[in-house]
Amino acid sequence: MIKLIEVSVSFGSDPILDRVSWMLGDQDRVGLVGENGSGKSTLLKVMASEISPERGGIEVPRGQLIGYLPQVGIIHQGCTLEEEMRKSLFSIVAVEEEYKTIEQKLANGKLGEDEQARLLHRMTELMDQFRLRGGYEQDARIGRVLKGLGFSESEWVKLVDEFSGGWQMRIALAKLLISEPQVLLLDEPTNHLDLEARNWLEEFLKAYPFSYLIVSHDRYFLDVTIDKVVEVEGGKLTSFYGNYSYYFEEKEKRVEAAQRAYEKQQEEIQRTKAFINKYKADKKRAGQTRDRVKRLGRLEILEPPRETKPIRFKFPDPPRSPNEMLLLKDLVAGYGEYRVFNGENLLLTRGEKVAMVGPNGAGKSTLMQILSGLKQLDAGTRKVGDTVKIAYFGQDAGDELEPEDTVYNAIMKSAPFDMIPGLRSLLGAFLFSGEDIEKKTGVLSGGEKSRLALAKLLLKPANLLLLDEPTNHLDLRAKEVLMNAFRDFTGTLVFVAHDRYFMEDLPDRIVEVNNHKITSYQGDYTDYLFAKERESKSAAQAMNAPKIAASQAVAEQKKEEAPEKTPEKDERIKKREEEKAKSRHAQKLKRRLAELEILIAETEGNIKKIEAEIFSPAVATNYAKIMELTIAKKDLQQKLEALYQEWDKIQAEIEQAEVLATHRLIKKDQ
Amino acid sequence: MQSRTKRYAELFKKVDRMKLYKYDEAIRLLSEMKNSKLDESAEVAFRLGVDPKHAEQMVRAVVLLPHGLGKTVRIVVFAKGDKEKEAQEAGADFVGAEDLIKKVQEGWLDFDKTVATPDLMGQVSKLGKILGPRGLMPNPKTGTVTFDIKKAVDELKKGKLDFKVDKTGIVHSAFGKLSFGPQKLIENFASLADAVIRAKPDTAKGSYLKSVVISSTMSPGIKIDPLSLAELKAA
Repeated sequence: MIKLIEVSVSFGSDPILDRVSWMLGDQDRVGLVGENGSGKSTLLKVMASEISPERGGIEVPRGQLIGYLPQVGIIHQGCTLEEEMRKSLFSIVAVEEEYKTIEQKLANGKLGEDEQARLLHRMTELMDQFRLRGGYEQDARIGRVLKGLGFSESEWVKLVDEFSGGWQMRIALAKLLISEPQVLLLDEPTNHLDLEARNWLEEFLKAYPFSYLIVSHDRYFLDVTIDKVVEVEGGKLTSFYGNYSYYFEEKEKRVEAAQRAYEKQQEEIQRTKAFINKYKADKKRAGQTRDRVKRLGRLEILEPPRETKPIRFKFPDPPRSPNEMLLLKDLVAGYGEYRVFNGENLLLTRGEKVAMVGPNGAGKSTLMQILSGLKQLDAGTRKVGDTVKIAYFGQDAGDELEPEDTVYNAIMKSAPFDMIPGLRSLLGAFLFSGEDIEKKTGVLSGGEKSRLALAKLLLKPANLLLLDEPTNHLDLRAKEVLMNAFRDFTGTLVFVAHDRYFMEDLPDRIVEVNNHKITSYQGDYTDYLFAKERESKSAAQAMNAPKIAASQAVAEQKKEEAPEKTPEKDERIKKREEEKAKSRHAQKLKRRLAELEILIAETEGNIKKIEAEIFSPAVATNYAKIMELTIAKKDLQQKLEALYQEWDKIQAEIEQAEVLATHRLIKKDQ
Repeated sequence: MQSRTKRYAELFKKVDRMKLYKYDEAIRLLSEMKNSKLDESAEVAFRLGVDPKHAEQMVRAVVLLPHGLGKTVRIVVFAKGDKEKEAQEAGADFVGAEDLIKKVQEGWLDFDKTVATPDLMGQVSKLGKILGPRGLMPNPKTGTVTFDIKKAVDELKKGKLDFKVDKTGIVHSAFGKLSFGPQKLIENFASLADAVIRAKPDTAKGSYLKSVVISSTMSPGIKIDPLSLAELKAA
């Protein structure tokens, strides 16, 4: 339990929390929501006693353990993963250590009888404590959490220093979950997790025996893990008793109601003022007028509800670019001895939108850095097209801002001269409005910093955007803005994102980075999943059919005999093959559509025949025959329905394929 | 939902799920509910109003059941020299020191109780990881760390029982076999319940006995009215 009493915190003159009183109960499962910079992380820090409030206080029961996971910035050093995990079980570790000391004392012997009895007694107590605190289950607990969060068993003995930034946060999360505190405060725990680990965390939290408070912009995650939403807005907290979807609906209703109440009050005020003005000189109505003046003075004026304006933002037009934007050939790169890539190729062409996927730590960020030119190649070539202008957004771009700059200054510094008049609207598009732009960047929240860094980057016209997790820390509204801007962007875009929404809608090519390999898949994320499934199926088939293997071997041999191919050619051939497969599939669909049309006509004809027969005078008096015909008709109708459904489905598929094809043609023309 | 056997369903009909039985009434009912082939154990679970996370609210004690548990207990004694001989005379099943400790470390666990002399506890405590989770560690609180080996072994043979609260605040223990007949079971139960009540920590707040349920190895549970146990204390 944590109780906040009249807590106020402000940055400069802006109150972030304004006399907030609230309690997180013993079994509460709460989601904390609000726009970027509304004070969610600050509230969490106050509750975790990381910062002390300017006014007001916090009550926490004695001996209660609070676990807090910040958004970023935890780095572990100096021991193995397993040792690091054991550190979090400090209450058990303390018991274990005392037990060992007593054990040694007893083993040494030569103790007085009283001393021995005392030690034995203490030992018993420790044994009970060890048992009750789950000491015997600690290995199982550590194993369960590490496995769930995606650590393989071989990594247990790895030094924690060797883990990358995202994994460092996972380690911190794992430690917290293992220590099982009575209050868990998690600030965007899903940011650094892949889909599998995120799902595991969902299940873990559902079964968590104590209370927790989660900040997250992942709607689906919140929906299943919480039963109460607390919104931070304008320094105040508002509770909603339901999950995130409920909050969303309820919030809309409340805003509407507040708007109505506000309008009604404004009308009332206008009416009263009109009355006062009209009759203030009228002695007969002096009493009434005085009354109304008083009433007006006493009235608690309602604030209009905060509006959320739809925002659109457009990237500056990218400069004309060559068809081949960037080529990596025979890429070899790594860290020290460790090779991330060994002889890989990748070509980025004009106007492509490429999403990178792969497990954490597979080398997505490394590849992004190589593409941007920040990381040197160990071998191979990186060829950038002549007029290509690269803009790169790293995972920690938000931390590179000067803390003393104001938002406006920070962005002005990097803006080209002709963009300066439009800066305010750009900032508005990135949800910095009104006084926000005078804030120092040092006081911005993680999400705000991220947004600002992104805005800064996008100011300069570029035709190749390399964005490493741009959606981390962004709230739902900011994500929407960004998504729309990306959709309209005509340059080449390469991005890494863990947001399913982005992956589904945006990319026309997926590049998979896994097992030191770079593999391209045409289409969006769904197509990619489909292709992966097919791959695993065909792999299984290959195992069963040596014939296929043999023919493949022949093909391989032919390939080898053929003149050496360049990676561009490889890419082109691959693309062509994919196109062919698609067109084969389309032909098949069209054939089936024609078949279906014939079948439908036939069935409809048959139904008509039966109907005619039912009404014919010969049958009209024969009940058994009518029944028989009715049943036959029903069967045919069902069949017809099924045929229509299949027709609809195929038609939709063909239409979608045609739209995609036109899309590709337009792109080629460009 | 797990499907139940006909045998269980038959027994289930005999029990009124909503009723809190008096303890003697409940045990009589339990002994009538024998319809499996084996000689079932009678078991009880006390849900206690304690928070075992606090060291001072630990509930742990021993009780000598008047009719034992109806099991033969295999006893290991860790002792050296004279005490080793004493243990053998008292009827311990296995006696030894370093050799026995090593054997246990290698995975041998064919015994039900352990006794140790205090001078050997320094070495026996190394077995904590093995014996601890199984509840087999010798413990001065239960009288199994002592120089009076004869008494300790005797009592264990007679059915001395130690019980302790688990981390959810429940004491779970057997108190005999259904073949004992109701009278003996009632007497065993009474001494166990009495010991549990006596072990109430001073710091425990609110009601101490929250619920009491008895069952046999293969029977449905029968709820006992905790108030009916208050008479025990008075008696």
